[in-house]
Amino acid sequence: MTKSPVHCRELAVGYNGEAVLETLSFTVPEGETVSLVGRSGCGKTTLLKTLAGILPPLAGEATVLGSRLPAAPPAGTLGYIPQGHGLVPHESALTNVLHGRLSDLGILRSLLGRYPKDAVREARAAIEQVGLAGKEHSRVKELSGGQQRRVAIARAFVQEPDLLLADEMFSELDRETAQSIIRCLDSLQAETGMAVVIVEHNLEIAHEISDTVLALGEQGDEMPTEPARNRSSS
Amino acid sequence: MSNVERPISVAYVRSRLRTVSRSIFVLVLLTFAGWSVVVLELHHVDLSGGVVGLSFLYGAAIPPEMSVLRVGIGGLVETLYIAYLGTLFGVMLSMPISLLASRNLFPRHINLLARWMLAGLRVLPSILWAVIFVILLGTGPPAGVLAITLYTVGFVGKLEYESFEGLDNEPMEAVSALGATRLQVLRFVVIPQAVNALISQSMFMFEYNVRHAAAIGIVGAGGIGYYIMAYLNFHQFDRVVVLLALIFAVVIVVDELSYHLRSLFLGDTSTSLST
Repeated sequence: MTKSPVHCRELAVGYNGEAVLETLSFTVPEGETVSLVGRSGCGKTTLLKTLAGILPPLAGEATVLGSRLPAAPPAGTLGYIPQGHGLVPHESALTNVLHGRLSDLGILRSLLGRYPKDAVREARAAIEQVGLAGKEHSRVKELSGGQQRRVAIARAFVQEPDLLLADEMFSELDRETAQSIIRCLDSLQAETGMAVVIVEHNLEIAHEISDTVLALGEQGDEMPTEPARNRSSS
Repeated sequence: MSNVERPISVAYVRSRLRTVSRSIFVLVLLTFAGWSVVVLELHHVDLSGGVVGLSFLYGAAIPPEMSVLRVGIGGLVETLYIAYLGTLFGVMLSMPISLLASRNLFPRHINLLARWMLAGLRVLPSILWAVIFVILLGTGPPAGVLAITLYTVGFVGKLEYESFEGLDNEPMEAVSALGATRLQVLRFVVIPQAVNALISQSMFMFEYNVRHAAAIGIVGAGGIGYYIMAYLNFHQFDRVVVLLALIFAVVIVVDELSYHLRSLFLGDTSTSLST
């Protein structure tokens, strides 16, 4: 039987006790990609933030990587790419990518800000993988929006997480770069069996990368699911 | 344009309430300002007496007595040491308290305790802290350093927690979601994000403390203030004016230093408006 990194049952999500989405029930199997699509403001980001442990669920239950929300999954197993990158602007691209390996550090290393050499090597490789070689020491605030997006992607990739939650991962990227990132994502999924939940506005991309597309509707609406996955296996 | 009436939404009512409450707030501020002027009888102040005093002061202070420069520089160096150490210790001590006081970083009950502590330290101005430490430790720079330290904790701590609360939450949320501990989020996200404000506040505090370290010398807590007080007592305004000019020059230098330090840490700090 396939394991499910995400399992939601009758889940309600929202802000300050006010539900944006209710009665959500879905499962994301290991190694699969689920895209969340829907109109702006329909609650896609809220759902993703809830799965990431940033917002508490309002009702129902959700299990993420074996931990029932609001309990956090084991450190380093969850990758998250927020809508606005979530990077520290004054720090370099390399430092930001290394934030994906903070779970490797003990208290002393954390206080000193010293990462193991293999973490630094892997962070450099992740930066290269997303096409930013030579930009390791550039401050994030000096990079373009698309480059910042790729730093956020590299930060998630360097973890090799069991589950990746990504909010508009391909926005700000040109088609060629987006395709290159999709290839990286495919290869990482093939290697690690990582599951992916992605919020995507571009339906073409959503269908290309996903095993399932979930269309999120208005509050109280049924949530239709649609099988997709027309990407070529690489 | 359609004249069809639309139902009034909760968001519309809230928006109108916000506008009305802002107007009431400004009205209350202005009314209270007017009331304060009346209570303090500021409208009866006669400024002509001040002009006479100013001309007397000008005659007594000009030309300045430059022979006091050497004594002044000695006192000023001591004042700078007091301000520097007081600021350094104050900023170091305030940092953990201000992190605890930030509503976006720690629970409410911890915020309250930390805020009360900072508010308690701000109750007394540095000159009254200096009086207390002169009584406890005797006259001299140690009383000055402690007075400046305690006041700095209270003052800069408040500025710091306001900066932390104004930070973009997304990097913190993102790094927390990746599995970082609270300590790691503070060390790798919160402090680096706030570094601009922290350096700026520390330099502002140092500049502020240079002036206050000069003032606390008046009550015996060391530094140039001791000499200013002594010359004032003997009505030697031509010497006092030299010492005040020295303090003024140092404040200008510290201000410039603050700008360059910020640039060093953060790259170009200029904006299109400043060029």
